[in-house]
Amino acid sequence: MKLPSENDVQLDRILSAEEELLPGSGFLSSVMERVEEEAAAPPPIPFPWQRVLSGLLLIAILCAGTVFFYFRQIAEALREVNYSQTPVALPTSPLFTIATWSLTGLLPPLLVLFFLRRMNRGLF
Amino acid sequence: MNTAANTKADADREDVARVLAGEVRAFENIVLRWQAPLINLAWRYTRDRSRAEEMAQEAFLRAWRNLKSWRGECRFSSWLFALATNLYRNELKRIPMQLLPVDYAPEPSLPAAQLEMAMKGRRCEDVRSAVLALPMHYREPVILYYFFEMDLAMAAATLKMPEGTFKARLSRARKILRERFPQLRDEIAHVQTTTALRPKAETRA
Repeated sequence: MKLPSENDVQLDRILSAEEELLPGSGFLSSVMERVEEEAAAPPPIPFPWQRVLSGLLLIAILCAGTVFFYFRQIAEALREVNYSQTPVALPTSPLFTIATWSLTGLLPPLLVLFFLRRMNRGLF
Repeated sequence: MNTAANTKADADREDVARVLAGEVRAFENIVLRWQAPLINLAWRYTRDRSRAEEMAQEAFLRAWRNLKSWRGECRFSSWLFALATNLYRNELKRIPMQLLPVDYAPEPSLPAAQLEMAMKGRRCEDVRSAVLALPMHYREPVILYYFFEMDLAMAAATLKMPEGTFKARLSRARKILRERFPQLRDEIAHVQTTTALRPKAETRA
């Protein structure tokens, strides 16, 4: 299938008439040398996905546990506080604290996951 | 030509099977068959001979590593060109060429008659340089269209792009080039006028 090129005659002529390069004399041998090197090399050690995933799972459980434990403590502290007597010394609202700790807990596993994915794609 | 292409395709299939069976030296036949096209394609991307050879070498290595992923649904050559194109594009993203924007590409002045031949040669080089100054999404269609001797389907398939999109980009790229080199249009107009006048003159005679 060809494009109609009435108005592009000259452009077609110029861009079609390209000089042809011949491969250098050592090209084939250098490619084959590298191919043979690769063929002779031991197969790469597969990435230990199973271990990494179980490690990540463990980290996630630990983080979730920490967050849960912390929430429980906050809840208990809030129940025990007598609002009418002493001003509560919490720096921010409980909701803000909960969100902060949730994010802090989730950040490490997410970061690990992100870097592992990049490593797997060969970006490092 | 079709027979030659089919013979090559059969040879590719056989060699790939041999390589996958563990015969490393069979890859040499593949390199021998495709080294010139791959180097020339890289040359059109870079206009730098040594870099073109390096890129082609890298393309062969990548083909070697991923040979298993060619399952024979398309021709081996199509698979190889798609792989090479992808690699060349990424290589140029990684280490870009030193390019001038299209508007800064040198524009030859209107040639005097006695200098016309020399100027034409220079103009050809300028047009080719201007192609390299196009943005990548316009440059690649131009490079591949002319590399595949104006075979639109083959070029579009190599870029894994619908033919309509490919055509649109090619058309836009040519428009940019025509605007950059208005003297080409003049020349075309001159060629067309001469061609249109010639039969009349012959009829009269």
